[in-house]
Amino acid sequence: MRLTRPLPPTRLAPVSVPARERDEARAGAERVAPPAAAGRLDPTAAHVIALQQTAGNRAVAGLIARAPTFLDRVGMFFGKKTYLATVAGEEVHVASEAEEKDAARIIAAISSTYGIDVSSVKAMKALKGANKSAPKDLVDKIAKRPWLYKELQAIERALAHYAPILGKARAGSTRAAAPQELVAVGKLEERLGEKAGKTVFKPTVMGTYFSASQTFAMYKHGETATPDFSDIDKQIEGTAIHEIAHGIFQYAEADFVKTFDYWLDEDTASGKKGAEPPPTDYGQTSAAEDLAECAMLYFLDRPRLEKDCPLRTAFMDKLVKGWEPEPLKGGWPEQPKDAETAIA
Amino acid sequence: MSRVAGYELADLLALRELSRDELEARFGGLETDPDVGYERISGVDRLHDPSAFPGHFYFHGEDLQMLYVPRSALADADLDELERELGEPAAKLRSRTGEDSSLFVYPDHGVAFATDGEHIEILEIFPPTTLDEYVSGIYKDPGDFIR
Repeated sequence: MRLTRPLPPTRLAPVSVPARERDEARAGAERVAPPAAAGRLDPTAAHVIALQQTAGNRAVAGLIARAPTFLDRVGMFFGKKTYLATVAGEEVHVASEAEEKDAARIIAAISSTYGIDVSSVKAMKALKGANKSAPKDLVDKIAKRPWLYKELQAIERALAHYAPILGKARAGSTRAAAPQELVAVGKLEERLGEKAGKTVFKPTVMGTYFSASQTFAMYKHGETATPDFSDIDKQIEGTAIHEIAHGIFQYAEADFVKTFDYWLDEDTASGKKGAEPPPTDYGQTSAAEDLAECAMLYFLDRPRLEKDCPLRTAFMDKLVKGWEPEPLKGGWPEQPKDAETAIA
Repeated sequence: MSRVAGYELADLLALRELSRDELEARFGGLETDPDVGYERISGVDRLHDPSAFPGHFYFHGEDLQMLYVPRSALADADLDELERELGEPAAKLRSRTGEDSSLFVYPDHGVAFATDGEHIEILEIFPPTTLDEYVSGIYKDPGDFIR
């Protein structure tokens, strides 16, 4: 019997991406993120996985091992705590060869598991696209910024909260029919944008989601700013959860506004007394920010959200539980015990 | 003349001259949400009937404090036309409507609108006032968008 419900996604074994291989892939052709193609692999990740399949993990690891250079080692001997590695085409500050390899694993895993490309070039394009009418001299100053290793770790953790509706897993969720809202993430220096009618760099912005390109960017300010959590690792994860929520939960914004008396519409508070307020001051900015703040706290500090915003917690519960399809009435048909015939 | 939410801007401005009863008579039985707020304005009644008119009227007693027209009703509004008609704003303030949006304020006309540079996102019509009074009595600074 053929199952109509897709099987759970098979997780790929961790792989590392050789910097040289990624650079060659980039030099050959501009990589284009799969247009919301759940599970379709980024070419570089596909290459690494193909290599892994033909040559095996050890061979791949042997190929990619890029020990710190002589200069890196000299720098670290004289007190530098990290060196700058090029990992899968992205620059990453790492403290050891192990971190460098893990950074490569994270980038490949984000692509293969979640269908999201770690690409600061794409983030840069997204920011430029959002500033089409900005003065050219300012647009030309938009720049990539090397990742911190801990940022990649935090993004991997943040994406895991949305795992049921990302990459291959999305096909087995209630969001299967809609294109994936997030296809790339990158690291940039600063946000360029409008402020009171002028185009300026905004040094205090930590992250942005660009809906036109389904891309989110992390910025330099997020490396050190801790407006919500004293633990910087948790803060970076929270910022990533917030930005991802802007994309992932777009489908729920209208329902969010309708559900909560606090909002008159997506832009304007109702001013009603007694309405449950957003969980943070920042959430009062708009309904979309409110929802993204709820997501951040739901995944990282649920007790606080439950205490301050029980109605919002219930809304988030419903949203997240809603990703799982309703079981078939009468239960699933009994499967043959032989695994091969079960999926034939 | 600019068309906004299906009306000429001048017609929307003229609504300010109507009393609460006259508005109710013109638009039928508007639903009233008593004792609510709009940005910094508090203790007002909100009158609204989306089938009759897309905006929200905020009254303090018999005095109209604000006519707010939401994004959903502004698809026909043309930024260039509106700017041509209203001229240079007295101020461009941060807008709650988005990280790259600005609120153009024309306090002497009793008009403010938010734009992202392409679209009109929200429109406010209020009794003519000064910029200081608008900022201290109506406008709520959303602060910097940090994420």
